[in-house]
Amino acid sequence: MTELPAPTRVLIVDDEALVRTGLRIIVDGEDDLTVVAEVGDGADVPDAVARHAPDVVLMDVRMPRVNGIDATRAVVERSERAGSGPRVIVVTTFENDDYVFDALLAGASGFLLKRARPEEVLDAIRVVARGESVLFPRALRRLARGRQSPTADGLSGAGLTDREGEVLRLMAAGRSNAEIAGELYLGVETVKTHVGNVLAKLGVRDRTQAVVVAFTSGFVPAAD
Amino acid sequence: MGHVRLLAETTARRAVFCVIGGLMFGAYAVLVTGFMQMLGDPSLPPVIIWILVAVAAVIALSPPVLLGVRTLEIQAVRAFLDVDVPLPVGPVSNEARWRGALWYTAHLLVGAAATMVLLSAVPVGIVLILRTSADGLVMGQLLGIFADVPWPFAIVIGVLMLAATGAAYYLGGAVLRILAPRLLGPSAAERIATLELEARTLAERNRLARDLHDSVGHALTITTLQAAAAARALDRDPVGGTEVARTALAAIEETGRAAVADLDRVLGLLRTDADDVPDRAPVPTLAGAAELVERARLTGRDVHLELPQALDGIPLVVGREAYAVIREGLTNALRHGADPVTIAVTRPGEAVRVEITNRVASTAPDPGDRAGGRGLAGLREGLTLVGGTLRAGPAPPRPDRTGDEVAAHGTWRLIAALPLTDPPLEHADD
Repeated sequence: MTELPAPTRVLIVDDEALVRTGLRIIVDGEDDLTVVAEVGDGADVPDAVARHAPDVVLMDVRMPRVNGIDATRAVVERSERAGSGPRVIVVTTFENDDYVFDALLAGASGFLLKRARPEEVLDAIRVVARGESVLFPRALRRLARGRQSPTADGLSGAGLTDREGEVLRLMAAGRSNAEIAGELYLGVETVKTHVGNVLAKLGVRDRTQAVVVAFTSGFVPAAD
Repeated sequence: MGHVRLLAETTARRAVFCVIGGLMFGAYAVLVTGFMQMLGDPSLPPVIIWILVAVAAVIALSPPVLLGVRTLEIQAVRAFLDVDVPLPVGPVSNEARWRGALWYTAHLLVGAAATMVLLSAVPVGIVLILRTSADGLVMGQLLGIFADVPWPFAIVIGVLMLAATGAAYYLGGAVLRILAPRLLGPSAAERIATLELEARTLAERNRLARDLHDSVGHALTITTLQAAAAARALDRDPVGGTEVARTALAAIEETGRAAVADLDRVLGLLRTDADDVPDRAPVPTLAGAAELVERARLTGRDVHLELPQALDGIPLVVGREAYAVIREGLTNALRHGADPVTIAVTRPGEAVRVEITNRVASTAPDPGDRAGGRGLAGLREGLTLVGGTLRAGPAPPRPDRTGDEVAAHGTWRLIAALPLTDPPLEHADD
C-alpha cells in the first residue's frame, strides 16, 4: 500500500447546525479532506484553531456573538504571529453581502456561496490549501463598487512597473498564473516573480488581498 | 364607426352627470319656488315662513361643504367625466372644502343649463320633424318663432335642435372637465399626505421584502446544501449513506415547511397592506411608544420613557419612523441587553432625536447579532426615506457613573436623528 499524503484539515464555522452538517458530509466524503472540528460561533474559532490545527477554515459571516469578519481577523493575526496558520474561506448565503468584502479585507483568501455545488466547495478548499485564492472577479467587483476610498490614487504611490500593473489587472480579472503567462507571452515562472513583486509592493499577503486593493484603490475600476 | 360610438358613449356619460346636476338644481328650484308661493299667500304668517326658510337654507346649503359629498363628486367625476382626480387621503383643508363647494355649484349650474336645453330643444325638434303642413295651427304655440318655417326646412332645423341637445351635454361635460381638477384636485396638504402614505408603504414593503429575502433565502440555502450532502452520501455509500440521506431529507422537510410558513406570513402582511383603506389603518406614531413601553413593563422589565408633549404635530412619516426606531431599538434592548432601558425622545431644533440606552447583558458581549443587525438595517433604510441617520454602539463610560453596575458592564446606545425639514422622498430610490 502506498502511503497517502495527510488529508487537508478543515474547520467549519457556522451558527446553523444544518449548514455545518451539510458541509461536513460533503467534505468528509473526500479522501484527501477531513473535517477536524465544527464550531457555532466566531468566538470559538481561536480555540478550535489552536486545538485542531486546521489547514482551511470555512467561515460563516453572520454569527450571533463574534462575526466572521472579526473571527477571520483573529485567525490571520494569529497566523502572522505564529508564522503559519490556516487559510480562511468566507462562506456566505448572499452574493451581494457587504460583509464578504469586509471579510476579504480582514484577510480571507476567498469566498464561497453556500449554494455552490459540492464540487465547487471541494475545489475551493483544495485551491486555498495549496496557497492560491478563490476569487469570483465579477462578484468581487460588484462588492467593491462604492467601496473605493475617496483618496484613491490608483496605486500611483506603489511604484508598480508597467508589466506588474498588467499582471495585477489580469489577476483582478480572475486569471491564473498560467493564463496570465499565456496572455502576456511570458513564462509561468516570470509571472510568479511579477506576482510576488506586486504582493510585496502592495504590502499584502496574498493574491486576494492584492485584487481587493486593486479595486478599492481605483487601480482597476470597480464600476462597469 | 368606432369614433362615433365613442363620441356617443362619452356624450351619454356626460349627459348623465349633467342631468344629475340638473336634478339637484331642480330640487333647489322647487324649494325656492315653494317658498316664493308661500310668501305670496297672505293667509300664512310671514314669521313662520321665514323660520322655515332659515331651516331649509341650513339643510340645503350643507351638501356643498360636506366632505362626503366632495368624495362622492370626485368618484362621480372619475366615473362619468374620465378626469383622473385623486381620491382624498387624510385630512381635508378648509380651502379644499370651499373649492369643493364651488364645484358643487358649478355642477348644478351647468347641469341646469344643459337640462334647460334638453327641455326646450327636444320637444321643439321632434315636433318640427314630425309636423306636416296640415297641423301647423295646433302646434303654433309650442313652436313659437319656428311655427312659420316651411316644411322641408323644419325637418332640417328639427334635426339640428336634437343635435344641439347632444352638443350641449358634450360641451357642458367639457366645461366641467376643465373645472374638475382645479376645484376637486388635492390641496397641497392632501398631496403631502398622499406622498407620505406612499413613502410609508414603500418603506414597509422594503422591510417585508428584505425579511422575505433573508428567511426564504436562508431556508433555500440549507435545503440546497442538505440535498447536495444527501446525494453525495448516497453516491459514496449507497447502503451506509441512507441514514445520512434520511436525516438530510428530514431537515429539508422541516426547513421547507418553516419557510413556507414564513412566506405565508409575509405575503399575508403584504396583502393586508394592499387592501388597507388609509382611514382605517391608524399610523403608528410616537404616541404609540407609550404603549410599547407599557407592554415591556408588564413583562417585568425596567423601561423608562421620556416623551415630551412638544412632539405633537410632527409630520406623519417622521413620527412613523421614530416609532419604528423605538420599536426596533426597544426589542433589541429587551432581547440582548439588560435593564434599565431608557428611551428619550427630544426635539433639538428642526429634528427629532431618539436615544435608547440599555445596560449590556453580561452573557451577550456583542449585542450587534444577526437579528439586531437585520433590524437596524431595516431601520436605516426607513430612515433614509426621511433623511435621517442612525448610530448604535457601546457608549463611552460616564464619569458620573463610575463604580456602579452600569459602568462595570458598559452601556449600549442607539441614537436616531430625523430631520423635520428635509423633503422626504429624495433618497427613496437610493
